[in-house]
Amino acid sequence: MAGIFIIAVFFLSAFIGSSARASVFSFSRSGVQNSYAGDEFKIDAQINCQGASLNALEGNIIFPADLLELENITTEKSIINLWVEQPKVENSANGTIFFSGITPGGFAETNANVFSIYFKTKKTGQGTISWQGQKALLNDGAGTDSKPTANNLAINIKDRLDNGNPAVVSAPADSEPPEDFTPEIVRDNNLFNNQNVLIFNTQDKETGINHYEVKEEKIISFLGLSFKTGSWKTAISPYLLKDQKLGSNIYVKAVDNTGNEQIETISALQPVRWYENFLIWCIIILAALFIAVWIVKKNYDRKK
Amino acid sequence: MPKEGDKDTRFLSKRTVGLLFFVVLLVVIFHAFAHANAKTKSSKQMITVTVSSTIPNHCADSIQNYDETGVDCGGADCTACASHCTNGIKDSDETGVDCGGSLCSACGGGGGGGGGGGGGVTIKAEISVNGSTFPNGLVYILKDGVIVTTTYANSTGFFQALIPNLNAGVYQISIYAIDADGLQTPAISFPTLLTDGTVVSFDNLLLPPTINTDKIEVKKNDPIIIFGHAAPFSTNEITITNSANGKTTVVIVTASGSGDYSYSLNSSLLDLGQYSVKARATLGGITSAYSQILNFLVNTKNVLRVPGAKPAGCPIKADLNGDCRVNLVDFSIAAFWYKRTLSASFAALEAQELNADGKINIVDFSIMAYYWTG
Repeated sequence: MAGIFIIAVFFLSAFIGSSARASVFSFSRSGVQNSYAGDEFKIDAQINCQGASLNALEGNIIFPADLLELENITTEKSIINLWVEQPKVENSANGTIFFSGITPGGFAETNANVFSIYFKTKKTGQGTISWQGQKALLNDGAGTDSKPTANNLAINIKDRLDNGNPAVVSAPADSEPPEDFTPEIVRDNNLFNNQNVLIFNTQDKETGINHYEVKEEKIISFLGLSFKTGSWKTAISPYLLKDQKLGSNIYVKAVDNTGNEQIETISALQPVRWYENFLIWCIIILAALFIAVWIVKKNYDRKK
Repeated sequence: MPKEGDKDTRFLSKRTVGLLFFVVLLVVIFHAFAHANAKTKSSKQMITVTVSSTIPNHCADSIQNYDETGVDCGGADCTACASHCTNGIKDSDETGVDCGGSLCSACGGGGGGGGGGGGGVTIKAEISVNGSTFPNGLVYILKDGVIVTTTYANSTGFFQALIPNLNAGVYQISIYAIDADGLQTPAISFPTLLTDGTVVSFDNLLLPPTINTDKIEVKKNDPIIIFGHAAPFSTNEITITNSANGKTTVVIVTASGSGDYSYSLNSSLLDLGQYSVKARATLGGITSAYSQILNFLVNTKNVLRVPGAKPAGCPIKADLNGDCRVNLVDFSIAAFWYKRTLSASFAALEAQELNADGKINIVDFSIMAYYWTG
C-alpha cells in the first residue's frame, strides 16, 4: 500500500464522559410578553441540543385550559421531518398536547423549532405552560435518551384597563401548496396482513401539513357514458385501501394549515371493465325486461 | 278451446313468452361470455405493486447500485442505459441536471437577470453542496429524508450536487456515501433555512470514512487489521475503546491517494474483553464525523469477520421490509405497530431489526432515523 505513512500514537486515557450538556426544551414567545383577557398570542416550542446530535423528540405540553383556548398548532419551520404523532390536543379538558417525531440524519441546533401553538386568553389569572414526559433521543443508532431538561413558561393574564383592542396573532401568510410527493402502494406481511396499503408523506414549509385525504375513484364507461364513484376521506399513512383489486384511481390530497392543497394520483392498476360491474348488468337486464314487456303489451293491445 | 286459425288473445302468448325468454337468455349468455373473457384477461394481467421481498428489485429503486452503470440501467440485470445527458438526473460529470461536463451540452443560464416584471412571482431557492469522500464513492443527497439526487465522487474524492426549485422553509439535508466494498458512511445532516430566491451553498464537506476489521474475535497477541476508505491523503484517527472500562487507544493513519487506509493493531496492547472501534478523517483542517462503530473481542482464538446475512451496503438495522433500504416504507410498517401489541412474527422482526423490547415506540423510530437511507 504505497504512499501510506503511518504514525502510531498510543496513549491510554481514562474514560471521558460526554462533554455535551443535557438538551433543553423551552418556549419562545414572540411579540408582546404580557397578555390581557381576550388577547391572542403565539409560542414556539423549541429544543436546544446543547451540543448533542438528536434525531427523535417526544413529549407533552400542558397548558391551563381554564385560562387559555388553543386556537391552532402549526409545524412550519419544524426541525421534525416525520411525525409519529403530529402535535395535537390529547385532552382538551386539562390542556394536554402530545407530539412525537423523528428527523433522519439528526440535528444539533441551538434553538430548533419543534412546532408553534396559537392561544387566545379566556380570563385573567396566572398559570404555567409546562413540559411533561419529554424525551430527546440521541442520533446514535440506539435511541439513547439524552435526558433533557425543560424550561416552562409562566403566564399572567391581566384585566385590560384601557380601551385598547385585543391583540391578534395571525398565522403566516401561505399561498404555496404542500410539496410534491409520490404516494406508494406496498404490501408486507407485517402491514395489514399483506394487503394493499397506501403510504404517503410530504412537507409544507409555510404553515405545515394539517391533514391528508384519500379518494378511491372507480370510473365505469358504458355506451359513451362515464360513471364515477368514490369520495374524499380523511386518512393517515399507512392507509388500507378499500379497493384491494386496485381497480380505482387513487387520489391523495395533502392540505396545509391554510387550506392549500396538493393532490397526487396513482392510476388504477386494473381498470374496471363495464361488463365486470354488477350495477351495469342490473341496468341491462331491467332494460331488456322493460323492452320485452313493452313489446308484449303492444301486441296484446293490437290484438284486442 | 281455441280453434285452429283463432288468434291467441292472451296477454302472454306463447310467442310472447318465447320472445321474452329469448331476450333474457341472450343477455345471460352475453354476460357469461364477457365475464369469462374478463376473467381470462385478469389472469393474464400483471398487477404492479411494490411487494416486500428479501431480494430488492435494484433495477427500479431509483438508485445506481449493484452492477448498474447508470441509475436503474445497465449491468447484467437491467436494460441498457440511455445517455446520462437525458435521464433527468445530475450524474456522471454533469455540472447541472443533464448539462455540463464532458459529454452534455453546456448548462444554460436563465434569461436576463434582475428583477422587475410582474409582482407576486415566487423565486425558488436552491441548495448547493460539495465536499470530499473516497474516490469514486457513490454519494446520496437527501432532502427531508427523501433521496433527491446521487452523484459520484471523482478520482480525487471531490463531489458536488445541486438541489434546485425549493420553496422557502427549513430543510433537513443529509449526505452519505457508499464505497467500492458496499460499506456505507453515516450520514452527515444539517437543517437549513431558505428564503425565496436564495442559493445556500455548503462547501468543503468531509464525509466520514468507512471502517471494517478482518476479525470479530482476535487471539491475544495476534494482530487485528482495521481498514476502510476515506478522503485521499486524509489523516484518520482510529479510536479503540474497551467496552468494560472505557479506556481508549488512538492510532493515526493517513489514507492513500486512492482513499484506502489500513492499520494492523497488535492485540498484545489490549486486555481481554470486548472492544469498539471507530474512525474519523481530517483534511485541510476539517474533521469529519465518526464512522460506523464496529465491535470485536480480544480472546483466545481468531474468528474472521464474514459477510452477514445482509448484503454489503444494506443497513444493519431497521430494514423492516428487507429491501436493503430504510425509508418511508419501514417507517410505515413501524407506525402500524406503534402502540399495538406485536404479533409473534413482527416481534421476531422487531428483535432483529430494532431494540428488541417487544414494542414499537419512539426509541425504535430513533434507531430507524439513524439508519435511514431514503
